[in-house]
Amino acid sequence: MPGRNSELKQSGQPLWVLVVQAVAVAFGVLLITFLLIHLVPGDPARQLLGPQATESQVAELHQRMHLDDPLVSQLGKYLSGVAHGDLGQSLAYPGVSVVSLVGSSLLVTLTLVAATIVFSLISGAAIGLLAAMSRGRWLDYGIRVSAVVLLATPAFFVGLVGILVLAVQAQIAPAGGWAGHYPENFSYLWLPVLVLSAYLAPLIARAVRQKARDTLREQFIEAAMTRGLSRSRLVLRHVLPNSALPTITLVGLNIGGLIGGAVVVEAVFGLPGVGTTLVNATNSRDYPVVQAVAIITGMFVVFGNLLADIAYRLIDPRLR
Amino acid sequence: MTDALLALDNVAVRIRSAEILRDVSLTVRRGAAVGLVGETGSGKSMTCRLLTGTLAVVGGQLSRGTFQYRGEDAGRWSERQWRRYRGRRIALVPQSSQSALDPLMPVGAQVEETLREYRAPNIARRTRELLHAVQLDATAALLDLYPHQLSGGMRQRVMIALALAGDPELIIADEATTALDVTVQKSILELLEQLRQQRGMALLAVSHDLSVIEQLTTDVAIMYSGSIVESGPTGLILADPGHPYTRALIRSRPHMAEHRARLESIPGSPPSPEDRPSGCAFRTRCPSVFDKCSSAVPALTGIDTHAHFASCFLHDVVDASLDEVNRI
Repeated sequence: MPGRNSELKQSGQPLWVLVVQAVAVAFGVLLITFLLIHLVPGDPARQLLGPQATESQVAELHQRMHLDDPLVSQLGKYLSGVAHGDLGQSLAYPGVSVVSLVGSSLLVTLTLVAATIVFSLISGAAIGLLAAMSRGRWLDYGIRVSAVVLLATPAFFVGLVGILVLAVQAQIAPAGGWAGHYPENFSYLWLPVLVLSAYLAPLIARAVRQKARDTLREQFIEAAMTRGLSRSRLVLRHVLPNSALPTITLVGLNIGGLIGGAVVVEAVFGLPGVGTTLVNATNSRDYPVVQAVAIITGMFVVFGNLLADIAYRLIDPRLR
Repeated sequence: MTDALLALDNVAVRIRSAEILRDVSLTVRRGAAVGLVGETGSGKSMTCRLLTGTLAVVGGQLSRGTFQYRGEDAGRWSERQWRRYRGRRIALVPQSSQSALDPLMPVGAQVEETLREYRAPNIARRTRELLHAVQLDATAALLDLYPHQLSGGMRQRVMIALALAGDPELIIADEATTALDVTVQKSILELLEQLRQQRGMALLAVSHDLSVIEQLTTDVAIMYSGSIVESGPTGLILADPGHPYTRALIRSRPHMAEHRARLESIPGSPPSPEDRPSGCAFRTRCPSVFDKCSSAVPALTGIDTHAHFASCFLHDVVDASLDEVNRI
C-alpha cells in the first residue's frame, strides 16, 4: 500500500529524535531573530529610530539594548530573557512590556487558528468523504475543482469576497471588528474563520478523499462488507477513521501557513490579532515587538509540528 | 438435488467485454465439504465474489447461466436482498493477511460490531463464545489487542470467528490458509473441519493447494481459465484425474516421500480472458493435445459411474474407440 508507507515515513523516526530536532530548530529560530538586528547595515539603534532621531536618543537606545557589550554576552542576556518570558520593552510604547503587548493579540490569533483547524477538519473530512463515496462522477469532480480553485485564491481575496457577499449583501455577519469579550466575539469570529478555512479545508478534503479512495480498496473494507455490515457503519466506523488519520500530519505541517494566512485575514477584518500587532509594530519600527512575534510564531510552527507527530503516535495503534 | 444449498449452472461472468468466468457449474449440498481448485487467474476469486454478491465491486455481472441459493434465483438478488444473506447465511473467510481486519480497531470491537449488525443478544458473551470456538483465549487483554499485535494464525482465527458470528450455513474459505506457516496452516484446517462438523455447516474451500483440498473436502471442482474442467469425489480425482490439467496439477505437487530432484511445473501460464485460445482453453499447454482440441470447446461430461465429470475430448476418443471395439 503506497499510502501506508508514506504515512509511516512521516513518523518513522523515534520520538526523541523528533524532540531533539524541534528543540534544535527552536534554538535556531531564537538565534536568527537575535542576529537579525545585527545583520542590518549601519548602527542598529540608528536604523530603529530613523533619520529624525537625535544623537542622544540613539546613544540612549544603544545603551538600553546593550549594543556595546560583546555579542556573546548580548545573546546570553537575550536567551535568559526568553527563558524567563521577558522579551524586553516596547520602543513605541515606552514602559510597556513586549509580552503584554503581544500576549493579548496572540490570544485572538490562536482563537482564529484553532477555530479554523476545528472547522476545517470537520468540513474537510465530510466533503472529502462525500467526494470519495460519490457514485456519480460529477460530484467528485466538482468538489475537486472547487478545492483547487479555493487553494489557488489568495486569502485576502477570499476575505473581500466574504465581506462583500456575507457581510454587505446578505448582512449576516459584521464586516470586521472585534467585541473584545465573549460571547459577543463569536459573531465577529465566524466569517474570518470561514475565510481562513478556505485555505485549510480544501487541503484536508483532498487528503481525506484520496485516503478514503485507497481505504475503500483495502481488504478489510471488503471483508466487512461481505460480513453484511451496513454502508453507514462501514463508512463512519472504518473508512472515516482510516482516512482522517493523515490529516493530523497535514494540520501540523500547515500551522505556519495558517498563521501567515491569519495575519492577512486579521488585516482584512480588522481583528486585533498578532497580524495587526505586527503591522503596527513594523510601521512604528517597534523592533522588540516584531522580534517577539517572530519568536512566538516560530515556536508555534516548531512545536505544533512536534505536537502533531506525538498525536499521530498516540492515535495510530500501529505506532503506539 | 433437494438438499442443494447452492447451485451454479453454466455460469458466465463478465467485466465489461472480458468473460472472466466462462462456464462454471458447481453444487454445494447442505453440510457438504467441497473444494474449488485452480491457479491464480483461473477465476476462483470471481467465483467467490459471485457467491457473496460482491461482483459489482469490481464491475462484474452475471451474463449467462443461473445461480441458485436454496432454490432461489440468487443471481438476480438486489444489494438489499444480499444484505440478508451475507454473513448470516453465507460467510467468507478471506485470504489470510494483515489487512483483512481494520488496523485502527481492537479485534474485540470488530467482533462485537459484527454481532451488533446481526442484532445478536448478549453481545459480550457471544463475543467470548465465538473466540472460544476458534480456540482463542478470550480474555479482556485479547479483546483489546489491535490486528497488528496478533500473529498470522491468531488473525485468521479471528477471521473465522467473524465468519461464525452470523451462524451461517455455508462458509467459503478463500485461500484461507495460504499465507500461513505450514504448522499454523494445519491447525487452522483442523479447526475449520471441526467447526464444520460441529455446526453442520457446508464448506466451500477455495485454494490452489491440493493438500488443503485433500484434507478438507469430499468433492472437488477443478477450474481453468474461467471454466470447471473436472469435478467429482476428491479422493477419486486425486487418484485418477480425468483431465490433463488436473493430471498436471497433481504432478506439480511437492511430495515429502518421493525425493524428486525438481518439481514438475506446467509449461506456460494460464491465458487471460482476452486471449483464450479457440476450442479447449488448456490446449496450448496440454501434453495430449490433438487436432480436435482447437475446433470445439469440450463439454463437462461424465467419465465414469462415480459422478466424475471432465471436459476433455480424450474421453470421447476413448469412448469412440471402445464403441468401435464393441462393434467389431
